[in-house]
Amino acid sequence: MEKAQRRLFGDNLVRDSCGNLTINIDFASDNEEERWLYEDCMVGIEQTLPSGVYSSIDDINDSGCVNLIHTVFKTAVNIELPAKKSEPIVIHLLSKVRDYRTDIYIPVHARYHNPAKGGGMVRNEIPVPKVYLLCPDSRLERCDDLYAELTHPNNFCSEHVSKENCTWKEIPIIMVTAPLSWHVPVGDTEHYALVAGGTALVIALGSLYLLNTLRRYHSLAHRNNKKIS
Amino acid sequence: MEKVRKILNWEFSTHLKIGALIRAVLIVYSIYHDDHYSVSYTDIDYKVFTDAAKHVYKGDSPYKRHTYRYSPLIAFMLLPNVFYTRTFGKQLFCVFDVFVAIALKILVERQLKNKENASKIAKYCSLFWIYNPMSIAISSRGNADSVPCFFVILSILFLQTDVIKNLFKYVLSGIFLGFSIHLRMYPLALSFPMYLSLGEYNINRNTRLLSGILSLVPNRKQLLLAFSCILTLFSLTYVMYAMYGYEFLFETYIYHLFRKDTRHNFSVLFYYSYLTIDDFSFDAVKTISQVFEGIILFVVSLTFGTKQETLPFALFCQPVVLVVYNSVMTSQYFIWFLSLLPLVVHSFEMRISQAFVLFTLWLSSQGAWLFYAYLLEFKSREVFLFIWLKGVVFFCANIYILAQLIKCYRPGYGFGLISKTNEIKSQ
Repeated sequence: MEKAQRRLFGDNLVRDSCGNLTINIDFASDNEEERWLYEDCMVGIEQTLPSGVYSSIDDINDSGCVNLIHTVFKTAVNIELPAKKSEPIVIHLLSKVRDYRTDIYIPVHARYHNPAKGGGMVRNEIPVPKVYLLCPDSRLERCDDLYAELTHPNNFCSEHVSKENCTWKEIPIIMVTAPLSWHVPVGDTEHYALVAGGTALVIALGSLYLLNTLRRYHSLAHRNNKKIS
Repeated sequence: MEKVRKILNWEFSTHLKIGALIRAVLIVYSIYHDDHYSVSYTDIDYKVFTDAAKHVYKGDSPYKRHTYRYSPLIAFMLLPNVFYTRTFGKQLFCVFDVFVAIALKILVERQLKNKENASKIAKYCSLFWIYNPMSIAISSRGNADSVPCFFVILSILFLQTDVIKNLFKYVLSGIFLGFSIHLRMYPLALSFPMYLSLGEYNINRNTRLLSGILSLVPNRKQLLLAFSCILTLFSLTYVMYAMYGYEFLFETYIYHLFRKDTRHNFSVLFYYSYLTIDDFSFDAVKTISQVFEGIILFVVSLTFGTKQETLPFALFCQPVVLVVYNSVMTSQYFIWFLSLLPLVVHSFEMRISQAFVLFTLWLSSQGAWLFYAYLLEFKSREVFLFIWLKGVVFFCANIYILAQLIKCYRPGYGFGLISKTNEIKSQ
């Protein structure tokens, strides 16, 4: 069985508004009898990001992750939308099995969440990814006995390829890390009265102070001009 | 102190070369830094400009790049980023930086033409730009704001000096002003005091109503300035609209007019905007802010914009007010008024210690805000109220500093290098 672990910037509970989502998959590296099965296989990972978290193709291209061969965003991304107006994002990540492992990471960011009564934190659960394999020599078909109940037609291929003809196989994985969640702080709607009143007052007082300074400058300049003339 | 004076008295061309060298070194450093560190030195906007230029290179619209909200001219200027070198844009912005320094020196020198030490004062003023860490960082990081700043300075240069001696100078001033408004909308606020400075308003309590009204009728200079500005802006807008349609209008202008960015920023209105993110009813707080902003902009224009001598200070104050009262305030906006500070810095009759205190106040209030922003962004702490309080502190600091600058403003002071006899002779 393939073992997978994920980290969000090194900790299960993340405290960053931006970080790397790391996915490490171990393909039976401790089982010599099974290793041959995964050699030179392409790995496809379908990772869904909840609406409160996003990544972008530009960030991923700039991330410098050498093991990440290609990235496809299956859903459109608007990086400026708040969480409430956003939809979950589905990303397809392509890599390769190297030394019976796959290690990739993508930068992710937290979106702004709507303020709530009492403030606090909003929890964003990052679901377990789906993992697909594409191996040479139709290797995995020979293991249909082993995978018959587990693998099934999937949507990892392009849209014009039917599920039945798709050569990618979804494989089961065992997560060895706890479920990932990202806690994002939100504003407190109970602050509204204080903030609205305070902001208006500060702006009004500051403006009056500035206008008074301008008035005094003008009076002084006018007086000086009179003296000179 | 003697060493500092010696360095300050180097030739202007030497300072220009040093300024250019500093920027070149930072451009080279940015390549190394971006490859080795996770926090990029290069501005995120530079990536946006480059991606937009790639689309233009392929014959597509620059607006295919999500979050490209600038004139297509910026993407056109950065086409060499695609086929020549990725750092071309940074080099170009740094060149504009150097041009700004040269234009500032020429402008201040010509403004002080009859006064002693005019060349020295002008050189000292331009050093405020050449060695300004903010201008160095902003252009070497790939922010394009030095480009509209340059055209604003050019516009003022033709308006206020005798580089060209006939009325054509007002046409040129209007053209450069229109160009700068096309690139960034903030120079629109400068147009009113620039217009006023060309009028002759001798209105007092004894002036008759008819005479008063007649004096408000635009004269030839004002008409030339206004029409050339409007024509330039209209022509550029029309050409870009013909090329890219409504998308150009929306992304370049309309988006900025109705922008509601609720992510944390320096503005005193940030937390209020965030708490009212889904509120579409009448916004009393923003209305109060905009009313006061409008009044202050108008009063500043009338106080300093009606005379040629004090026009530069009006032009400096306008973007300060715009930035401080804006619902979104980021560091890159500071360049809008910092580029005009060299025009007026010689007119502040202020002790160095007082200037240092004001500078420290400005920096430390930003630093206080940045600390809590760091806690929010990198430690996910719930510190929105503190960020708001620091935004309030920064707003108050800006208002206080501007008020102190108004109090210290003495046109013709010239860092104290202009003797009083010379001043009285000039008067």
